[in-house]
Amino acid sequence: MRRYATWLVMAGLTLPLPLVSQHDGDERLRAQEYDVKAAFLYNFVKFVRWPENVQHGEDSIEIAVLGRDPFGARIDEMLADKTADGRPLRVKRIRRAHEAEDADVLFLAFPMDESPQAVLDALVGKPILTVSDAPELTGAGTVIHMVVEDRRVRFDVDLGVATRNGLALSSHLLRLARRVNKAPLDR
Amino acid sequence: MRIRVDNWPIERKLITFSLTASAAALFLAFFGFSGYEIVTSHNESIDRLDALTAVTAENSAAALAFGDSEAAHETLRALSWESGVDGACIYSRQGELFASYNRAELQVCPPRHSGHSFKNERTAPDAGRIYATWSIDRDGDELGHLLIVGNRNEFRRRLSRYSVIAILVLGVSCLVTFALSRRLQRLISGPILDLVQAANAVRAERVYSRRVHKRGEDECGLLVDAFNDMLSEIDRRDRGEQLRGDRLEDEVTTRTADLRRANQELESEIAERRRAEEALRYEAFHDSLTGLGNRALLMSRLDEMCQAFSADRTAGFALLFLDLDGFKLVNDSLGHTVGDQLLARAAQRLASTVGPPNLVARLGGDEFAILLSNLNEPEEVYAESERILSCFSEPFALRDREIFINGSIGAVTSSLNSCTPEKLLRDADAAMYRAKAIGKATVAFFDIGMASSALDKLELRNDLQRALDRDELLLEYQPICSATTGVTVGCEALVRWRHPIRGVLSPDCFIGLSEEMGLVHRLGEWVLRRACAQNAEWQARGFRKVYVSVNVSALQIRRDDFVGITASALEKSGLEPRWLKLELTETVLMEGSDFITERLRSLDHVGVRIAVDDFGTGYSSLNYLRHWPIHTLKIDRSFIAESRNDRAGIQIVSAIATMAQALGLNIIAEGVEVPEQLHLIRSVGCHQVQGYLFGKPMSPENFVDCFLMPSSERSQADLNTLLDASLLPARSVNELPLRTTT
Repeated sequence: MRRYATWLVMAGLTLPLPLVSQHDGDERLRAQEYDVKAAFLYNFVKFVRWPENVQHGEDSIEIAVLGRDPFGARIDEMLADKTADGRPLRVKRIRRAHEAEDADVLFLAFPMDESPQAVLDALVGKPILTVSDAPELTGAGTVIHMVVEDRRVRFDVDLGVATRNGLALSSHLLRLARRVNKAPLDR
Repeated sequence: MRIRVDNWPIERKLITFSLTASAAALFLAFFGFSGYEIVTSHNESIDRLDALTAVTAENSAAALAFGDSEAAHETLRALSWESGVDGACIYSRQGELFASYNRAELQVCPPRHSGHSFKNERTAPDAGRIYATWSIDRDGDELGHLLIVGNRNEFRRRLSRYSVIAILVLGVSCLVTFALSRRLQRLISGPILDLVQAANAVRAERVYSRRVHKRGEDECGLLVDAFNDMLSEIDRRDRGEQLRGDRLEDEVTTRTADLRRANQELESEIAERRRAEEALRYEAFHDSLTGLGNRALLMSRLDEMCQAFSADRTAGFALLFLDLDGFKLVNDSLGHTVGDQLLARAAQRLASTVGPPNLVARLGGDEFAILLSNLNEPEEVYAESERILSCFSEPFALRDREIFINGSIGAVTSSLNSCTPEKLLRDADAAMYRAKAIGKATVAFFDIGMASSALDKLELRNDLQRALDRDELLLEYQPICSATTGVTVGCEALVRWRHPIRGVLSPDCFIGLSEEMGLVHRLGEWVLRRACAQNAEWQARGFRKVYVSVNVSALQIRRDDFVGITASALEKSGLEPRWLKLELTETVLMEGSDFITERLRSLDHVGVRIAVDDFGTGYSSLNYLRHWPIHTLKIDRSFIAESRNDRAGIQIVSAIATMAQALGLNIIAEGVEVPEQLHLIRSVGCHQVQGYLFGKPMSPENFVDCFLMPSSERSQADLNTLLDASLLPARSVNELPLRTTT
């Protein structure tokens, strides 16, 4: 089991380099990119603390993927034996935003059936770590928005959203962020 | 080399010890604190490094997780503030260097670091560096590890800072200590040096009035006080001695003068006294009337000659005792003055006749002694004595008269065994009396026979006086036995004197003397009482009853109280009168006819028996035997003694016996010594016998044993044996089987 973890971390560290040498359009490169992003997802979970009183339906950390799934089956394999805070991680694919209500992490993939704005609005105040990577969703209001820059995966953090959702992000995570948006709560 | 600290000056000692002490204390403190500081500092830097490592590992976890090496580098760069860190390296899980930070030009991060076990650990300091590793993980996932390389610069810096401070403190404190001990030394040794200086000065100058200044009241102050007191004492004594010395000298001078004066006085006094002594001495040894030597000179000279003679027997000499015959007549008829003149003239003649080296001394009165130094042979002495007496052949012319006198000389020579001045003089005296007795104007030599008469009398006289008081007298008893049966019927008490020097003396030696001295009454009374008491005691002890016979002297019986004393003796002893017999000599009875009659009657009235002693020796009137109450006649021993050889003796004894029987008197034969006599006596009809044949006088104890005890009774057979033995003519007295009296 530890082998997977080892492999995962290795992937997280080594993938950006081949990523730099490949073209975006290349499918294989794309798959590698999303492997890294999947590892990032996992790492995010590690640096985020959910409110204490939140009781999810199952005693596991639910990662929901809304929209067209960019990860594929890889993410399931990668996170199969992983735990965070002692809980196993589980990935589920959803179509509708309301399905994400009992998830802990929501990855917004593009394109999706509903308007992203509507989805995010519906989830306002819910303790859900929302993550996006589509350029279209830049500034849409997810807590973490991943970008590829200089052939490396970076991310921005919107602290306002995180705070509104009752999430506490580790300062270590914030230090790694490319940009930290401390916008007021009215967003 | 061993350092003699004792000889160091106090200054050096104080400073050395103070400095050593403070330096040692500081060094100890420094090492103690430094050690503690080093350990603490080390621990601190280690702890700090550990903390840094842990924090950095925590901070770099996210960067490592997201593969953000720049962020990791940024995190490590924060360590640049820590001077104790030389570098930091983050390695991936695979041991690849992920991010690193190096101080200055240092390259401390190895490209790969196989944190063999990613455990949190720290290596021991190596070449001044400490390596600390810490695993980097997140929520249980191990991401890699952190290596931080620390240095010990800080530690070294602190150490050197400490050393500098310690050296500074040490230096300063040594200076302070030095200064303080200098001061202390001055406080202590200053007063002592003062004392030393003062002592030296006093010794050199001999000025004891000097004093030492006292600096304080501490021990040194006390020492100074003591020193000053000592000086005062010496000073005081010094002055006193000088004063005393002067006074002493004066006194010695005075005393010497006194002594000289006293000596002179003493010398003159001694000379004076010597002259006086000379005179006294002359007087002491010379007769003032005649100028001859006196008795003292004679005795002194005699003593010398006796000593010379006892040393050398050939140095014989002779002593003449000269008494003037007829001097008393001259003195009485012509007076003392003429007598003295006569003595002086006689002395002159004697002196000129005798001449030196012979000595003429006047002993007193008309007695002279002449000491002939070289003559010893009786013939020579006799011739010399005759020559001396011839000096009186010419008459002395005194007061127109011619006086004839003569002298008698007693002579003694030194050849006698005992040569003492007193004895010689006494013997010469005795010989002189012999000469006078022989016929006047003659010479007689001393012989032993003269001794007792003259000399003993003199000594015994003195002793007898005290004999009674000293209980020196005692009684012996001679048995008187029946002539027919041999049974003891009585005894005669005979007085003895146990003289402390001469031994036991018989009455012949002292009865006459006691009569002369008037002691006979006491002596007689003592004998009477003692005899009565002894007989009463015997009777009380149950022995055979015998009478005791006591001799009474003429003087005794003349005394008026004699009868009373006799009665008293009987009464006091409890003896019946008939057991006491008083023996009176025939002479006594004849002398005082009238009162004797009365006295004998009185005694008869008392009840005592009267015996006539030594019967037959006096001129007895047989008539008195009829008139006086006489009980017994004791035939004088001379008749018995003669009876053996002389027929007449026996006839007298026989006649007396016949007469006595006619008068009804008892007869006792005295002096019976041999059985032959006993035989004769029995044959003439004597009743009782007394004599050595039966027993000598003996002590009361022996008398009891031999004659009064029942076993000692003489039987008829014994007596017959005696009588039978007497028939044997050849037997001598000594061989007879007699009872011993010892």
